[in-house]
Amino acid sequence: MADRLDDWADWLDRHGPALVLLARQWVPTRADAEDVVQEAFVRFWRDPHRAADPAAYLYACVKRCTLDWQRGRARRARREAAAARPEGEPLFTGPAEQAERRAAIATALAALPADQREVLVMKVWGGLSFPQIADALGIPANTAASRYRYALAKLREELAEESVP
Amino acid sequence: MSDAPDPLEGELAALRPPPVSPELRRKIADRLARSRRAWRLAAVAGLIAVGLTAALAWRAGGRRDKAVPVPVVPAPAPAAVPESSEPTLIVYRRALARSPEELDAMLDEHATLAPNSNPEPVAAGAFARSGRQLRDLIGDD
Repeated sequence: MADRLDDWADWLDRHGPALVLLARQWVPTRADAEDVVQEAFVRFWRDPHRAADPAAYLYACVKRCTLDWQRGRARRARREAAAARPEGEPLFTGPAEQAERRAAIATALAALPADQREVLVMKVWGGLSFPQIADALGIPANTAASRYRYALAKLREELAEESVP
Repeated sequence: MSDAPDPLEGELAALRPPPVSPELRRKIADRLARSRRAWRLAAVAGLIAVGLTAALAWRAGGRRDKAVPVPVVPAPAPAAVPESSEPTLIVYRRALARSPEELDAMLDEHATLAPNSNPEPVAAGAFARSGRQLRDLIGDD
C-alpha cells in the first residue's frame, strides 16, 4: 500500500498527481509545480515520520515549498511572464468529449478563494480526511470542513452560471 | 446534514489530475539516491574518524608507556653514622652494650666536642624568679 513508508515510488504514484495539482494552485506552470513537488517530496522523504500523519505532513511540505517558491525573487520575473500567457496544459485529464466540462470546472476552481481551493484539492483529489487537512494546514478540522462546504457551494454556483447560455 | 452523495463531489472525484511526469520521477530518484550516498559517505567518514582517533589514542598510550618508564629509585641505604659523631640515644645504647666504660668515654668525648657547649655550670631551678622577688610577690617580709 502507498501509505506504508517503505517505497517512495508508491507514495509518489499515490499522491503525486494531487500534489502537483495542489502546487499548481499557486504556481503558474506545471513545470514550476513539479519543481515544487520535487523539493517537497525529497524534504518529506528525508524524515517521513516527523509528523504523526505522514500524508498530512507530505501535503504540508508541498504548501511550505510553494510558499518558499513564491518568495523566491529570481522566480518573480518568470512567474509574471508565465501569468501573461496562460499555460495550455489542462489541470485534469479524461475523455475528449468532456473536455469542455473539465475546462469549465478548472475555470471555476481557479475562481475560488485560495484557502477554499487548497482544501478542496486535498479532500477530493488527495483523499485526505478533514483532520488530515487540518493537520497539513494548521487549522481546526471544523474550519477545513466549512471551507470545503463553501468551496463546493461556490463551485456549484460558478458552474451553474457557466451552463446558462 | 444530508448523507446523500453530492453529484458535484462525484463529478469532481471522477476528474483525474495527470500523472507525474517521468522527468519528475527521475529527478526525485536522483536526489534521493544522492542523499543516500551522502549519508553513506558521512557514515563511513564517521567510522573512519572514530577508528583513527582510537588508533592514535592507542598508539599514544603505548608510546607513553615505552618512552616514560617509571624510574625505580632504590631506597637510600641508611647512612653509616659514626658512633662518636652525634650524641644519639642508639649510639649510647650500643656503647653501653659493649661496656659501661666505653659509654663513659663517649659521654666525655661528646661533652667536649658539642658545639656551643658552655663549660660553666648552669643553675637549674623550678622558679625563674629569685627568692627575694618571690617573697616580694607573696608579701612575706
